[in-house]
Amino acid sequence: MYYLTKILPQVADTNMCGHVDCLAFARWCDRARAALYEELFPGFRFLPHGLVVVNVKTDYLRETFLDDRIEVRTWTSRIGEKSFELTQEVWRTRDDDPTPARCSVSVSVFCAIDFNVHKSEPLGERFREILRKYQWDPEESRS
Amino acid sequence: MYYTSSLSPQVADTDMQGHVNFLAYSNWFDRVRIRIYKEFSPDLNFHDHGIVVLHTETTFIKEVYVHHDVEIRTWVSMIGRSSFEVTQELWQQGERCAVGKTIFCAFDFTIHKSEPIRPNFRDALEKYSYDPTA
Repeated sequence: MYYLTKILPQVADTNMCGHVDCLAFARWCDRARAALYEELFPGFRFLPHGLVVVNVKTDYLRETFLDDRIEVRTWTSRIGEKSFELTQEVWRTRDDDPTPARCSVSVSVFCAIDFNVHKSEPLGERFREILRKYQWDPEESRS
Repeated sequence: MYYTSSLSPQVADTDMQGHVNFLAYSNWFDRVRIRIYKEFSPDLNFHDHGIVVLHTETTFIKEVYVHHDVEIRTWVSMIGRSSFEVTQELWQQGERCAVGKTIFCAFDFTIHKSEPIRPNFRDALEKYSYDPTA
C-alpha cells in the first residue's frame, strides 16, 4: 500500500496564472518523501551515507488551486541493488467535488551515496528490507 | 540555436548534504525559460491562452555547489502541432551536471482545450531550435 501525506496548498504555491505552479508539485513530493523517510528511518540524517536523485519524470494531468486539499501518495515501485524507484501521485479533492482527482504522477530514481568520497554505493539489504514496507504495485491491487 | 544564461547559486539553494538541492535546478530552469514565455506573450498574459506543462524529465549527472556560477543552455528540441519540448543543460565549472526536458502544449483556457501553436510563436520556437547531434 502507498504512504499518504496530506498537504494544504499555500499562496506561495500559486502563480499569476491563478493555479498552483508546477514547481510546487515537486516541493510537495519532497515533503512527502521526508515524512516517509522519517517513518521508515526515524532520526536518520542521511549523512555521511545518504541518497541522491538520479532521474525524475513527471506527468502533469490536472491543475490544482489554492483551496484544494492535496494528498500525495508515495510508494516504492522498484528496489534494485544500487538504486530504487519511488512513484508519487498528487491527488486533489475539493468541497464541490469530493471524488479525488489525480493531478500528477512522478517517478524518481535514487541511489545511495557515500558523501565522504561522493561515490555511489550499494543500498544494502537492511535498507532494502525497510523500503519494502511501502512497496506496492497498483496494477496488482486493481486485479 | 540555444541561448545561454548565467546564474549565481545562493545559500538557500543548498541543503544539509552540502550541495545544491535538486529542487533548485527546476527553479533555475523555469527562471531562464521566461525568455521563451515572453515570445508567447511579451507581457506574460496567460489569461485566455497559455502554454501548460505536460511532462518534465530531469537527469542528474553531477552534484552542483554554491561556490561557482552555473551556466544554463536552453533550446527547443521538438516542435509539434500543439506541443513542443524545451531541453536545458546545467553546467558548472565546464562540466554538464543535469539535463532537463519540459514538454509544453499551447492551451485555450476559455474552452479548456489544447490548440495549435500560433505561427509567430512557432517562428520564435524555430529560432531557438537546436539539435546537439547534428
